[in-house]
Amino acid sequence: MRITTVKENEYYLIAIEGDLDASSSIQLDQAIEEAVSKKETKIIVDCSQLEYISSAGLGVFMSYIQDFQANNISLVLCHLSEKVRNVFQILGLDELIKIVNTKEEAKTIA
Amino acid sequence: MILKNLRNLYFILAFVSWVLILADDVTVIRIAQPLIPLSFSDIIVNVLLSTFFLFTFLGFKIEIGSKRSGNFNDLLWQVFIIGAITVLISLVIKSAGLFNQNALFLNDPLISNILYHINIGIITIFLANGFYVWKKMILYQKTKRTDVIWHIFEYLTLISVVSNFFFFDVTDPLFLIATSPITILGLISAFNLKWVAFLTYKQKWRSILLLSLIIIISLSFLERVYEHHIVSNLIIDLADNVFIQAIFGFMFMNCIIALLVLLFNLPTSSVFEQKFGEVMLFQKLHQSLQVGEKEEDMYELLISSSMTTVMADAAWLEIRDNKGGLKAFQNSNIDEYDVFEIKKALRKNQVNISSEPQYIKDILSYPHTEKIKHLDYKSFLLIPLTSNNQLIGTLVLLKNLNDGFDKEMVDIIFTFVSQASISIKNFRLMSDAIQTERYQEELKIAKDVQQSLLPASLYLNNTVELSVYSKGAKEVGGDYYDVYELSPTRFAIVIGDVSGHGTSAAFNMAQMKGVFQSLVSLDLPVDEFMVLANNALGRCLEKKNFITLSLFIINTETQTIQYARAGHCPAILIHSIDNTASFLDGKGLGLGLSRNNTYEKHINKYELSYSKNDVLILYTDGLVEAHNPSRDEYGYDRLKQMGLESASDKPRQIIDAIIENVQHFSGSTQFEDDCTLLILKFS
Repeated sequence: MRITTVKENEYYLIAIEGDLDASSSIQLDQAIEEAVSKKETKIIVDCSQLEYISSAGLGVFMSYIQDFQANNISLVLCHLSEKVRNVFQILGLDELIKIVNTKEEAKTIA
Repeated sequence: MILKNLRNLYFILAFVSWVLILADDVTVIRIAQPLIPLSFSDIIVNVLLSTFFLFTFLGFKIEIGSKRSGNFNDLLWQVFIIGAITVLISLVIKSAGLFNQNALFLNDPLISNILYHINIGIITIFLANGFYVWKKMILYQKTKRTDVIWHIFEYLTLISVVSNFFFFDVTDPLFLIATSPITILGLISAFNLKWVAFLTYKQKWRSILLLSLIIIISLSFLERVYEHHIVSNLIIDLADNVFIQAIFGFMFMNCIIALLVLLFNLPTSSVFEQKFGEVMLFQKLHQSLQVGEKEEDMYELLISSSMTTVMADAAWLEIRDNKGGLKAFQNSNIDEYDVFEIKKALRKNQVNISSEPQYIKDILSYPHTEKIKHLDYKSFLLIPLTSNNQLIGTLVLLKNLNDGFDKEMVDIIFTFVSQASISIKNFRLMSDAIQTERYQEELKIAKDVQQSLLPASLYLNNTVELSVYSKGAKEVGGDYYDVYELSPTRFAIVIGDVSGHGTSAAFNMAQMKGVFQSLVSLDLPVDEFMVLANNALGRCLEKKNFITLSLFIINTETQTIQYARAGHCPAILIHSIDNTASFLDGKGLGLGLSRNNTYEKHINKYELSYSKNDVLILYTDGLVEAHNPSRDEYGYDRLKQMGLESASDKPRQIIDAIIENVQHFSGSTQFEDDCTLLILKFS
């Protein structure tokens, strides 16, 4: 798995490529941690290349939900494949995390 | 034991022979008419003398032979002590004669013969003991050749006992030529002085002292023998005895050679000792690898041994961990602050620790060394510890001499340090292995715990047929299912999946079971159950962990199912009437995902009714996420399809059909994740 982070204006973009499982979720955790420490408030996660997400990967997102609410940080996921989106939906996480189709959409609501 | 008895027998025989000779002497002198006719007397006495010699020697052969070789000082000490005691006894005898002032006393043939006879006994004991002690020393670290030479020499010498029966003039050249083979063999043997090399400097001095004393004792015996020889009213005269002379000569020669060798060895002894010490250090280093010793002990050994080897005045050792961070620091004769100052000065002079060893002949000739001038350390040796080309530490040795390390020392220390590096590496590998083993042990326990958390038997009542398939992954996963009888016609069934793997998953599952068992008995509506479960678990689960759970309350009387789905994969209900399937989905957030008081907004309660022969399929994501080599997942649709195809069968057959289909699809009989499948068929 590969994670790349880019700063676009006020948006902090994290792109995930490959499988997000127990071993690779640590990298995602570090990337989000870094964004939080840099006082970023608009984080967009591009999941267009994300092929698989395990419960450990989901755990990373949910572990920040309260932090984000408390610090007014918005996290938006975009370009999810149907399979990955289904995982979020079944788990009910789509009610807690904003999930949109495109990056542009994400920027408008972030 | 047998040997000991044999030795005692030999000594008794020797003593008896000695007493018999004495008795014969007395009778010859006192009674004009001896017990034995004179014509035989000579032969008998000689036989007795020979047996006395032979048995004394054989006795000592066993006695000394059974001693452990290696402690040469003790052996020499024994020779000396026996010699000293015998000298003392003979002196007492002599002085007794002197105090008596009676000339007759000494000149009396009886008394002088008895005294001389005692001397013979004493000398024989001294010689026998000495002879076999030498054997032990000569044969130390023997080769086949030295062993053979010695044994020929020993047996020839013992055979020479028969010389008692003949008279030999020891000064006769012919005699000397005839006995020369024995002399040569003895000489060859005498030069086997390997034992000398194994003595320490101190032990060598002690040996020299002991050898000198033994030589003096031997001389005093010789003097006694010849003193009496001149008086010559003796019946048995040792001065004429070839055997005794040969042994005397042999011992004397040995003592002198050993003494000389020891003397010449003294100056080089310290060097040898040092080399030997180095070898021992390596051995110690290897031994320290054995189980029980810690990596820290290794550092201690490395620093102290290196310092002794090169006679350094101070040293420090830095050990880095696998990521390059400082793992250990050990200093000797120098305090940490000074080390810091020295390192600063070295850095200013661009002396960096690299993979190559570095030698600084005189640090004070470098600039930026004002702050360390007072420390008085001049030459430095910086040696990196590397393993697989990775720097794992640095050893720095300091001396307060200019150019204090010579090449020899440096070579030795390099070898030593590289050996130590290997040891450290091995230590790390070993502790990693132990760690892995421990982890696997934990996993095994976790797996056992997990198994014990699942219900042993599943039975609702005779209107529901129920079968289960549950397969743990290679790792410990967190699939959970349980049933609870609320009344004879109402049952709670739960299926869930704890996120994560390993020990923590098993632990979380145990918590889940506790929460389920305590809440289910309250017989709450399913959504309220979920809210309470979320509260309870939200407080005890780790931040990144969550649990997906579906709870079904089945009423077999009203044929209804009430359910709530907390993030768990939706169950499938196969309707037997029209052979259609529906997913029991609907809103529901996983437990532990929302930890504030808003969870109730994310969970709903649903209710539906079922009819006879309907099939309810409960499962975990391990089943639908099973994938084939090209990474396509089995998925919900295939599962639904299989359910429809096999719904007319009994639950057990439905399970078999589905599992076979999944395995066929994934091309493997081993699931990557945990996989649980529960089939209920109503009637």
